[in-house]
Amino acid sequence: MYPQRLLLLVLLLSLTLGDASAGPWTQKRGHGYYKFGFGFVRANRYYEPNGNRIAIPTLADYTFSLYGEHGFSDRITGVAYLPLLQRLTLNRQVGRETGAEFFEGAETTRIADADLGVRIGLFQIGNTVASASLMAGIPLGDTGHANGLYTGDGEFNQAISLGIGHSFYPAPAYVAVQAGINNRTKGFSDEFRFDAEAGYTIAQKLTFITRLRGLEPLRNGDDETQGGTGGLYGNNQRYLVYAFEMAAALSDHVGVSVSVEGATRGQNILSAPAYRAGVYLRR
Amino acid sequence: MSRKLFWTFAPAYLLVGCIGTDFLNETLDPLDPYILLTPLTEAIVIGETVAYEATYFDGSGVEAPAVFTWQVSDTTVARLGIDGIAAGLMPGQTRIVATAHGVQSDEALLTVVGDPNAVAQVEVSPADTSMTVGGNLQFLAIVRNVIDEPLAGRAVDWRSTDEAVATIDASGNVRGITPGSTTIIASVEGVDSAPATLTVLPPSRSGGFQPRPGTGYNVAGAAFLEPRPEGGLQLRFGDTFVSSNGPDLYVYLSSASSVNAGSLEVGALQSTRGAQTYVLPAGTAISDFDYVIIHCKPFNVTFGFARL
Repeated sequence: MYPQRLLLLVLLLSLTLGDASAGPWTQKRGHGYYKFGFGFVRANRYYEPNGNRIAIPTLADYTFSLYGEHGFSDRITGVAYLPLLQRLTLNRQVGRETGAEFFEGAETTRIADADLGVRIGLFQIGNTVASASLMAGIPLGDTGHANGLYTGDGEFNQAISLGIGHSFYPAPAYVAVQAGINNRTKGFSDEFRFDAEAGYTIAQKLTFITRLRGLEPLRNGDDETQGGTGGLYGNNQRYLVYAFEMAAALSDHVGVSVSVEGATRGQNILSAPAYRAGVYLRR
Repeated sequence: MSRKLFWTFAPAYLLVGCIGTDFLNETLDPLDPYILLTPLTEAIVIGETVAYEATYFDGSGVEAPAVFTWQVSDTTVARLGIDGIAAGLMPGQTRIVATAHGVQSDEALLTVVGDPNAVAQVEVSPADTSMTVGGNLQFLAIVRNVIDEPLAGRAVDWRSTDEAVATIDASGNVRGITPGSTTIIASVEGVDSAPATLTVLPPSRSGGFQPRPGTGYNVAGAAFLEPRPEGGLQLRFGDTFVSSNGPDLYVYLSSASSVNAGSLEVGALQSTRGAQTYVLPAGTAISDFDYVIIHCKPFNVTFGFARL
């Protein structure tokens, strides 16, 4: 059982987690939180598979999602990430000199691939906790769009990870690291994923977080498998991204968060800041 | 509660992501400065005049100011003033050119006749065309007097300026011998036609694919542009063709190594490896394009190309 004050801090921090790659802390039995999030990217640069950054027509991604954690017990937390609606647009392309239309533009609005799984608390030593997560990718998205505007990869992937978090209580700060393997199927390479983050809370209301997140493909897939346009649900992606996030507790049960994320390097991914905002309810 | 709901779903109001328009910097074919001279063929009677006009266009294809220098090849046939006005002196043919900024115009052919009913104009058809090695092509000559009245029953002498490239018989039938360029001229009673440019092409063209420089995508193998047994042309990739996979890959024919407004979209890439054939639209000539391009259409990214 976590000390009550530590739990309060963890709950405050957990509202900032915008997707299925949440931190190592588990929820108390019967408790949980639910977050409605919106994220968008508008990219006109792209990291090619060899890492070159090139100019591309503007590709925009608007995603509305639900993220939820529920404590089945003090050690076992159910985790779900459901992108309710992903809208993708690819701009029309017209020659500046001749006015010739090279591409008429494309769009799609679909449900996207979801993640379901559990997080299991392994141990707690003082203010340090460790947990393991097992997540399954549910291919609800579309992989048939003619112009490669995919909202999924069409495969059941399984990701297992280990995480360690440490609270500096009574100082309102924490650090956490996680690493794991994502086993992908249908020709996609498996992936090694890792992230590290640190947070600091001011006046028990406002939390600032910085995060570093990376992905390394194991390149054991089929080179013919490539995913969608611009690396959407792509194969052999590689990146190291950093993020800054700010979360504010509006009451004991409601809070909001905003974040921005950018890549320091990448392969087969868009090159543009990703912005996210969310509103959470917890009980 | 209604206030909370509003703010909870406020992001939904941002779901207005419409398709915008991106303007691409195009790779246009380089343009040499040139001078447009008119008329390119003219016939007058001795003592008459004809006014030539020249217009200079710069490397952007834009009309630009220029001071022209006029030249006439045979000053005994016609006199040419600095204002570009030529006067007929005696029967014969002469050529006129205008020069400015180091650029010379095409030659204008001026025929001067003494008798208004004499042969004054010989027009060759087709004017400029191409054919393949081993092929045959029929040329025709139209003969007129100085007032554009047709003159029938006149004997025509045909000649090719380079018979190693193409030969022409007495009836105007041309046979392509080797790849190259020549001009066809018809002569009637000492009056030449303006030269018609004839390009003789190889029966097929080929080239090896290479990745676009600097890209991580791979394209390799050979492309062949060749006649179809049924007529027309086809684009064929050899057995060793291979391309990196990508969304919505298309095959283009282009005059440059990138897709531009003048490029021909052949069709979606049939396969990222192995032999495949594409039938080209009717009217496509074997000399129209110099590059075969593998291009990701929605992302405007060229994976690789073959120069034919």
